[in-house]
Amino acid sequence: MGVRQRGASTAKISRPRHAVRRPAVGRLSGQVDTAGRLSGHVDAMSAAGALGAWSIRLAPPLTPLTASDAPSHATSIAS
Amino acid sequence: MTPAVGAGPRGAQVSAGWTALGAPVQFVVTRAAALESGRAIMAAELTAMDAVCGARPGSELSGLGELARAEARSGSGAWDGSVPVSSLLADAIAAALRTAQLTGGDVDPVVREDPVGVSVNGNGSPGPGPDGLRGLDQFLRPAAGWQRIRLEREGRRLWLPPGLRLDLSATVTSWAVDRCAGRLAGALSCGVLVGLGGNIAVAGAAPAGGWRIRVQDARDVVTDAADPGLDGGPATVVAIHDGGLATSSTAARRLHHGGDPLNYILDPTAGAPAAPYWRTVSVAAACCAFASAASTAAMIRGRHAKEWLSSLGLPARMVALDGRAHTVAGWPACA
Repeated sequence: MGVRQRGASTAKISRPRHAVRRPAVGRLSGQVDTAGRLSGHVDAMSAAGALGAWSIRLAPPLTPLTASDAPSHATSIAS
Repeated sequence: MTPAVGAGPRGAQVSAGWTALGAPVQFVVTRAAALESGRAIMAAELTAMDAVCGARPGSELSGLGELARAEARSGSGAWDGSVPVSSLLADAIAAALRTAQLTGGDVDPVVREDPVGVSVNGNGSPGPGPDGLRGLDQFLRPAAGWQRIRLEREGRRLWLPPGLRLDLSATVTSWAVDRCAGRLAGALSCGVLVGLGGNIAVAGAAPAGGWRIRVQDARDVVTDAADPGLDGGPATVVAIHDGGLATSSTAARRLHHGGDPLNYILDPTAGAPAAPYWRTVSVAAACCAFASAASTAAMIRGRHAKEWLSSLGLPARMVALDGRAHTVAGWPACA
């Protein structure tokens, strides 16, 4: 499994067991920030080339959402 | 369209006002000096994606069927039924297939070639013309099923059985913003927000307090003769630090049949417009592709969506037909 790290080189990366089965094939891509948090996601098809080799699930963001009254940077609106 | 450039909140630089892949583009960076070079990189990326995945004649995607037919006509006994695809298209198809898998087939890119040009997938294309659908019975057919095609990503080969075609409209923009945001954050060494329509991805270091995103039903007050009660709807602002956020809504786009408004999001199991339950669903996830997959599938799952999104831990905001907002899994309750 190749993981590209950025920031703290001592950050420990553990495979998200709840999200991934059969880790023998495929690639976990992403980056680690200075707090040791892993961002990115498992690429289900990069190595195996065939769907079904992995079972992954839709995953939430790493950081909780917060409400804001400040002006927005962007708008999410169906078009 | 000429991009408009200006200072955004807290010094973030905003470039917006252009379109790509059929959707308005939003591009925000945390380092002002990176704006122009970033916009050039993104424009090149989006142009390449449109040439490959665009839902228009001449794109690589639209030519796959003819390519397969030509291969079949060539009479070569050695042909294994596959056609070559570019690396970029293989990536886009892989994203669509992954979405189909993760949503249990709710968002399915494999559709039957249809003489009236109506797509039957989780985010169907509009009807055949301004008069709407000529007859529901002409297109009420289940989706073909994403398991019927096969992609060899490394070998860049696609097996697409006769009579089927791919419609990537439900996934191409979320895939595009994830790809662009990741590449731009690396190339520019700053925080980046990329948006296409309701799909937004962020990467790199977020500004203080996070990326603030306004979530809204429709761009302006919608004038819909068939549904005069529809308006811009309740809006809210949430901050995200990573991943993506996507909004699916019946408020911005609709099909009509016999004067009746129909959900433009189609349920692949029946091939019919999904039964209206939510007006708008917004979801935050680890990437925009996940968020978009979940928001579209939630529109199809209707009353079961709340429990499904909760079980996945995906923060979501669902606006019911009566305009009341419901939130789950960590989406701020007051928003």
